[in-house]
Amino acid sequence: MNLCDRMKKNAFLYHEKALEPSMAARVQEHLDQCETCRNHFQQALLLKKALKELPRRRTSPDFNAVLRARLRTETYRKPLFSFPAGVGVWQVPAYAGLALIFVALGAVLQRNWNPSVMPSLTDRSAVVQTASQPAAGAAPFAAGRASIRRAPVKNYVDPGTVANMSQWAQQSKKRTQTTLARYDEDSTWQMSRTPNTDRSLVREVRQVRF
Amino acid sequence: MSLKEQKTAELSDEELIHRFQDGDIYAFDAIVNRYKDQLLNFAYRFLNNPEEAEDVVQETFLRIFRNKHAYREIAKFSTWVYTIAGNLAKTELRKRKRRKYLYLSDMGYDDKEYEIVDPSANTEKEVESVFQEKIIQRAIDELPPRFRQVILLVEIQELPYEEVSKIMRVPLGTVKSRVNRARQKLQAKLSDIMEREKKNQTARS
Ligand SMILES: [Zn+2]
Repeated sequence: MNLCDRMKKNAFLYHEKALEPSMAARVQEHLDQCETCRNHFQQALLLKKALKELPRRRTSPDFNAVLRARLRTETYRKPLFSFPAGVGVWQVPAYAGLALIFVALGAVLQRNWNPSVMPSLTDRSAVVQTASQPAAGAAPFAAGRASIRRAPVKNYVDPGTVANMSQWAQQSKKRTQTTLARYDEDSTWQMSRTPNTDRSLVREVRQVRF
Repeated sequence: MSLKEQKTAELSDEELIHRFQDGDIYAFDAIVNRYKDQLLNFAYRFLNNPEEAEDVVQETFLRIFRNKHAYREIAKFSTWVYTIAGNLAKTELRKRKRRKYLYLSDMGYDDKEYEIVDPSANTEKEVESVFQEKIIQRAIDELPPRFRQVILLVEIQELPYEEVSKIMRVPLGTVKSRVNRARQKLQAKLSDIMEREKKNQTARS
């Protein structure tokens, strides 16, 4: 690497006054004698200026409306995520696990207490169904199994737990809806209050834009 | 300006996210309006594509909305926001590369022939600035992502080195040397592009 190349590496630092004083002096000395480097340093300065002056791009006028539509879609489509503050999504598997423990415990108790009526496989899936339905999320999975249920099976899950969980889910949903409704009435979002909040709305809004 | 906007305008980013964490959705509104344009500019310069840029910014806010409790006040709010947006922009870039790889006939944005003169720009000065913007953007497009990110954060978004260091999760010294190398690369690419343009012009005339 020749002297000029070494000097050129310092162009931006020189302009920013970020060089050691001794180095800055050496650069200055070289610039006084070398036109190529002077041009290069000048170019670096122009580049820095040009970057600062690049036009600032802005979001499209319907940005907030699109975001609003997406948030609504999300709020309605994913009840699992709308547990109230303090109940993280990470806790859901924990509660599901807790429910399963109760189910297993129930199965064991039933076998121990009444070995002659030990539940068949279909019976046991019915237990899972009743146990997990109010706990949100497992209902579609269990619905298929419910059709093959033959005899009514006792629910071994602590009813308190289930009640609490569905109550949480309901309260949370209600709270989100109230907030959104209030938000729509008085907000900078430019969005109509139609209940049509599915994907097609997002698409509609997008079509306007592009 | 409404009363609510007036109130939120005085709040710091950290106060706003704190309020949003407590359930105040207006605070989220204020965050969106405070950040959307600067994030759009960042994503646009990173991707050089308005639709992709807008998607990245939308997704950034969706993630903030969903994961509001993940933010802790040990970091500046802007650091968190730029980390999310930067990661999404890089993911978008990888997706685009994969698309290009799969569909060789699909011309990427950087292969596009650039219109040098924008018909809406009339005066000589405007033509010149449009020309300059496109040339610079083309040079930015040619930078590898980590150089691209650092130069956008430092030179265009004008964030302090300390914050860029946190966003990119590299030591302060690395940011400084990387931004310096990025600028040199950019300058070299610019003079290459200018040379090519000059040759094209003389070949045409
Ligand atoms: Zn020289």
